[in-house]
Amino acid sequence: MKKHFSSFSSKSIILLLFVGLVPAIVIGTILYVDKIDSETNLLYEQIDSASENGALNIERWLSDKKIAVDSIASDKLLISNTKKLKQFDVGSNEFFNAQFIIEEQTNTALNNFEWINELILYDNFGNILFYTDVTSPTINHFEQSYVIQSLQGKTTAGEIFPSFKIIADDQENYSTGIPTMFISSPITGEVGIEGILVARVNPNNMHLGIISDTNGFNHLVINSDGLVIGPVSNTIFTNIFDNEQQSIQKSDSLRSLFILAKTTGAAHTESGYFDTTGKEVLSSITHIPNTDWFYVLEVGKNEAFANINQLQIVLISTISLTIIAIVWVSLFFAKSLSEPIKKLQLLAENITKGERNVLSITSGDKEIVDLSNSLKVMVESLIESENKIKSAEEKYRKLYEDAPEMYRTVNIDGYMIDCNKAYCKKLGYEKDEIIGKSLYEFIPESHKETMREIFTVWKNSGDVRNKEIMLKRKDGTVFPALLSATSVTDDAGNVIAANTLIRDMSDLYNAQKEIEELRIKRLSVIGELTARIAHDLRNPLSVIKNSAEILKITYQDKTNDEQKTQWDRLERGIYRITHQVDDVLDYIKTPPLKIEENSLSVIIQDTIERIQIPDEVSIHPPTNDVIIPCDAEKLEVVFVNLIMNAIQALDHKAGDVTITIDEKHKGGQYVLIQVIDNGPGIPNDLIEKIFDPLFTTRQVGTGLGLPSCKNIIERHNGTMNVTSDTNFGTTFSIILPKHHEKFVASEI
Amino acid sequence: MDNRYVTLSVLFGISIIIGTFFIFQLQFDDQISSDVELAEVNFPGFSIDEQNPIKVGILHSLTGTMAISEHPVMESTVLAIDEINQQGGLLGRKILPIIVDGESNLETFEKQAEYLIEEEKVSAVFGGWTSASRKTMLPIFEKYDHALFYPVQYEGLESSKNIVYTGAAPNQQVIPGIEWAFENLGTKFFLVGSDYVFPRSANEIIKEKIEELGGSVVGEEYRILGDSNFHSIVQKIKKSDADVILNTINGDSNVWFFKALREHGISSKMIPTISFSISESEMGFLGTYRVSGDYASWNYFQSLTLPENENFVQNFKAKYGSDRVTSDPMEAGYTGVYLFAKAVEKAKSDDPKKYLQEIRGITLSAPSGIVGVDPDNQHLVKVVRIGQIQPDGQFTIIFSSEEPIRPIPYPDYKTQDQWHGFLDDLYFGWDRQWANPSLSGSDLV
Repeated sequence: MKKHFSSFSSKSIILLLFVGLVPAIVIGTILYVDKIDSETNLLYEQIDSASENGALNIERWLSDKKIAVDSIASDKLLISNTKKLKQFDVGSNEFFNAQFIIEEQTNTALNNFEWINELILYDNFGNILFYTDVTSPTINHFEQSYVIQSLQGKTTAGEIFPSFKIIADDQENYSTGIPTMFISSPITGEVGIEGILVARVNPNNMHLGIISDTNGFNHLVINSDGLVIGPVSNTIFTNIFDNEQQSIQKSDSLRSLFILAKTTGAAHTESGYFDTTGKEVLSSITHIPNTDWFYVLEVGKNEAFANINQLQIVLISTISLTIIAIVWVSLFFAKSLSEPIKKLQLLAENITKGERNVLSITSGDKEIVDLSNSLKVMVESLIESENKIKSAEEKYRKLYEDAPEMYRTVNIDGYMIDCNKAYCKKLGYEKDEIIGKSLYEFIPESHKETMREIFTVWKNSGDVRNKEIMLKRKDGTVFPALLSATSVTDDAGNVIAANTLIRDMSDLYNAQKEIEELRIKRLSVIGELTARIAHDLRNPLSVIKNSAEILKITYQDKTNDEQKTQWDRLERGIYRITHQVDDVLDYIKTPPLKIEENSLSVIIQDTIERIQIPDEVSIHPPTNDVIIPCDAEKLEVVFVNLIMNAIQALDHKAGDVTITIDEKHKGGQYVLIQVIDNGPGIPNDLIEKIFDPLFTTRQVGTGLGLPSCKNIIERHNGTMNVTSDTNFGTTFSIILPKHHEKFVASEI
Repeated sequence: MDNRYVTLSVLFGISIIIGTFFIFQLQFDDQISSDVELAEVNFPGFSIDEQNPIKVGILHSLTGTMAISEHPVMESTVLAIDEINQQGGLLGRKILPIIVDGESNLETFEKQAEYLIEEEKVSAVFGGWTSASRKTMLPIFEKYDHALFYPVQYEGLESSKNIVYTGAAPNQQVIPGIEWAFENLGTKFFLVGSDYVFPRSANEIIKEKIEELGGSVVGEEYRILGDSNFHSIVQKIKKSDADVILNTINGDSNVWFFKALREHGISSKMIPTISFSISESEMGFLGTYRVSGDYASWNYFQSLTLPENENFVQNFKAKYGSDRVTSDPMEAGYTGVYLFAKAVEKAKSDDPKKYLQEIRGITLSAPSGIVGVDPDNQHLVKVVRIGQIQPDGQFTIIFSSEEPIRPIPYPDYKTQDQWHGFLDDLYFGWDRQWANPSLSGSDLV
């Protein structure tokens, strides 16, 4: 399997992981955050609630104390006997009786309310009437604010403070400095306040009012100065800010909370601070209603967060396990998804490698089984078509190999990639000598250019039909052939090779040659006969001509117009005979060419000057010039013929004859000369015969003009041909080499 | 399968979770800066003048026939002093107890009282048990205008301004006892007692009371203090057809009396005894099996369920041992110290002349209940109770006056002068002593 994301199994893993993991992580995170958030809020709420409850409990505690003291002060016996204590003299029985009753009442009160340690009775002027302790009060309570409040009718609690008097603590140890407080209540008779009852209250049991579950909680009651006033512990009467850690950032929390609680009634930490023991705590401070006290609840941050931490661990574990499970399940599913596909892939790979003995997958997902079966069917049909192709290929091969004609295949660069037996045989090579060689190795030097042209044509058009070419055998001998090529393309349609059919034309060529030879032989017999006749005609003709001229000159003055016309007719007849005889002789006589460097323009200009040009015809000589090696006299003959033909073609009508020179024809090696008229053109059925000797359409023609021209040009190693269109006229094209090579002598 | 993708995915997931976790942790940081005025707190100074204690004398018989009764009283007195000292003493001074032995001898009591007043310059003397010893010491206290806190029930017929009587007056022990016995046990009473001033005086009151109630006295016998021969008396009791024995025997003679009583087959069910001088303190010495089922009349029993008593019993046991018991005279001795303390505090002086002015009318929540010093006679107002002796030596309270009873030192059967005449007869009849000196009275109270 390839380790990149483009593979199916990777994609399926990623998809499944994405589908599974992302929701799991998102849900898990949301769950986690939400749960921890709510738990944390709950914790703070609990702490706040505990603090609030603590504050309320202490308020209740204090309120209970006040109610109790008030109830003692409101006792009818106490009221009446307080009045008696004021009324009767000390030492009197009435006083004693009253005091005795007060002793009883206060004793009952002290026993009922064990948190009351001492009761003191004042009259409303501040005189002590009674006290339950052995020793007298050490404080003048009448100077204290609570008594002042009580004198106005309110049961009031004083501050919790270290006792000046030696009193017992909860362990019955006596000392000063034991936390104590006084609650005073008016002793109100029917006519008003008779006295003040002051109760020394043991505030130690304040903790009974504080939440019972003290596990991990530290709770303090502080007064408005930050002094710890409860519950009793080693921190009592210390200022909670005294031993604060120096860590300003943390310690400020408690102070700021305190300030905040003073103004708002309650405040709690968000981050915690370090308490006096250096322990990190969370805290909530609540003002205790109806007092200037504050309830401080501190809880160890670690203890407080223990459950949350545990929950965090559980949640993280659960989410992690879920994620791992999802990953595992995803991988499992991805594997089960990709496994059959992998099998299929393997199957396909094997098929690609050529394995045809395919075992289909029979178990698993229906799609996979179907796919596998389809694959099998496909493979079967593949085998079938492979066989067909094979036999077709064999057939084709046989056809190719055993064909009587030569077949060869060349690639686009011209190198042999295949050939058949006929090819090998005809050329006298073994096949392996041929394959890989350039096709030009089998072409004689003289025809390589032609071959290149043909190859170029094939490359451009993809198709070549019946091109004549010469092939060279291994032994160096050559033979003519006709070449046709078609293209072999690859799947994309690019031409990659040429399938070439080459037909050996030796027999045909030889036959043609024989015919030609026979014809030439015949022509030569005719020619010789004609030459002899012509030659024989020339002398009597000259005699006739000369005699006729003498007669004409002689009888010049004696002849009338009719006679003159007869004379002219005679002269024209003599001219025509002479001309025809010259033509024949020109055609037949083939004196060697006198090759010199000549200006084509000059030759053409000379030619034009020699010809009588009818007025209605315009001759346009070439504007450019080129100098080539040639026989100027012979070329003049050619141009005379062509221009005369053109003028005659115009048939006394207005027209143009244009002569052009293209000195850079075929890459500059050749010169193209064209003679163009805008006459009626030559019909198609005639144009093929135009260069045949003795073919003429005119009464006066010998039919040897154009064949002579062609002969002259070919002797210059040039070519001459004609194109014509009945609408645009006729163009004769002459191609001449620029450089003199070996001029082939005409065989005719 | 590529394990890389597994690991990466898991790590990715976990890192997200850990990330959120840390983001959460970071939320808790929020600081406000402010200043709070710090309050300075000074602890109040309280110093006790150790160099100048308030000396008090404790004068009880720590040896001799009365030692078994008086020694525990000395102890409870010391306990009270300790308690007050623990709470800061009086007037900023500690109370220093000077403990001396009365040796169950009247002369010794007289000498020791004078010694305490003159030599030790004590502010008060807590002591005495027998009326004989009190009456012997009384002239000394009156002479020096000093203060004696006397902790035992007695016959009354006395009211010195120099004595604070913290035990019961006759109407607070004897008379309620008779009334209860008459109603609950029978009408025929046999009186037996030690031959000294208290039994004689008490029985004089008892007889008046029985007569008043319409009952009969079927016998009256005395033995000198410390006597051990009670067989003849017991035989008389057997013959007397008595319903109730009223016992005013003091000291270790009680052992012999009850031994003889049981030896003669008189069980507490047959003829119950009401004792006026037997308390929890004597039980161990007497043998509880001898007296179980009998009765005693007191103001205090250890079994009282008052908080003050529970505190007292607890403190006593804490100081002297958990097997120890408390009794009426012990409670009276203990209470006397507190009354003294309150008076000193009230008078702001430890001078008896001054604090005795203040002590009248003082009330106190004592172990026996609310008590108060009667401003008329310096006796305590207190509750009367009758208890039945249980096999464990404790008393079950079967009767209580509930309301405190004001002391009447001179029962109104006679005038004060007549009572003084009666006492004079005894005193002179015993050769100017407060006990029958017929035998070797030298070591008897």
